[in-house]
Amino acid sequence: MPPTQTPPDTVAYMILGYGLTVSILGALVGYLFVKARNLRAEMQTLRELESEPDEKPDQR
Amino acid sequence: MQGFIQDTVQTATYDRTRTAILNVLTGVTLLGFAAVLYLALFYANTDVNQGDVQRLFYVHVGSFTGGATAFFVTVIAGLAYLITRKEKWDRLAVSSVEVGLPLMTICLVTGMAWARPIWNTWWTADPRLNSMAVMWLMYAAYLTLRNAMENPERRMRFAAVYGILAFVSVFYTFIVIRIRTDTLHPVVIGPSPVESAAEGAFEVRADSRTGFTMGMASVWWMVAALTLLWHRVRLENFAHRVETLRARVLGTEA
Repeated sequence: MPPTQTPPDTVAYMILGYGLTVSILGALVGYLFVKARNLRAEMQTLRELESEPDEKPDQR
Repeated sequence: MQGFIQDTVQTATYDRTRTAILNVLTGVTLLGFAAVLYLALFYANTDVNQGDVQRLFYVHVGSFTGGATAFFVTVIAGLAYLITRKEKWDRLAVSSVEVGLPLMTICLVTGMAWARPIWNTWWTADPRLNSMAVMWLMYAAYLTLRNAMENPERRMRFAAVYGILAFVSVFYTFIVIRIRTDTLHPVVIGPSPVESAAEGAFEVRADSRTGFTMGMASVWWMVAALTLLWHRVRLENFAHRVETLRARVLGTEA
C-alpha cells in the first residue's frame, strides 16, 4: 500500500485570506449603512427647513 | 388631479414591490453566504499538494466573477447613457464601479495570501498579476477622475466612455493566463496553454466536491455583486433626491 501524502500546513494563510475578505465586505456594507443614515438625516433636516414658514426679512 | 394620484399610487406600489424583491434577494444572499462558506471550509476536500490555502480559490475566483459582473454593468450603463443621456444610467455606472472595485480588491488580497505559501512570495512581476493591478488602478482612477470634474454633463460623458474602455482591462486579465505561457498563475477553469509555466495548479474537476463548491461560490459572488449593486444604486437615487430637495430649499431661502 503506497504511503499517503500529508497536505502542508497552510491554514494560517487561509485564515488571513478569509479574514481580509470578511473585512472588505464588512467595510463595503458599513459604508452603505453610514451613507444611508447620513442621507436620511439630511433629508429629514431639509424637509424640516422646507416646512418652516418663511421669515420676513426686517425692512427697517 | 386624479391622474396624478393614480401615478403616485402606482409608483408607490412599484417601489414596494421592488423593495420586497430586494429584501428577498438580500435574505437569499445572506443565507447563500453561510452556505458557500460551509462548502468552501468544510465540504470541499483538502488539496493534497497545497493544503487548506487552496480553499481561498473559492473566494479568489468568485470575487473576480462578481467584480467582472459589476464592471460589465458599468459598460451597459455607459452605453445606455451615451444613447439616452439620462442621468439614471450614470448613477448605475458609478454604483457598479463602487461595488466592483472592493470585489476585485478581495480577489487581489486572497491571491496574495495564496501566493505566499505556494509561490513563496506575496507578489511578483507576472503578466496576470500586472494586468490585475493595472485593471484595479484603472477603476480606482475612474472614481478619482470622476470626482475631479465639476461640469456634470462632461463628467457623465467622460465616465461613460471611460467605463466602457476600462472593461478591456477586465477582459485582458481574464484571457492573459489562457494565451500566455510565461505566467505563473494557474488556469483553474478551462485548459492551460501548452508548456505553461504555471505553478500551484489544481484540477477543479478532480472530484465532484471541488467542482460543485467552485460553481456555487461563483454563482454566489455574482448574486452578491448584483444585490450590493441594487442597494448601492438605490442609495445613489436617494442621494439625487436629497440633492434636488437641497437645491429647492436653498433656492427658496435665497
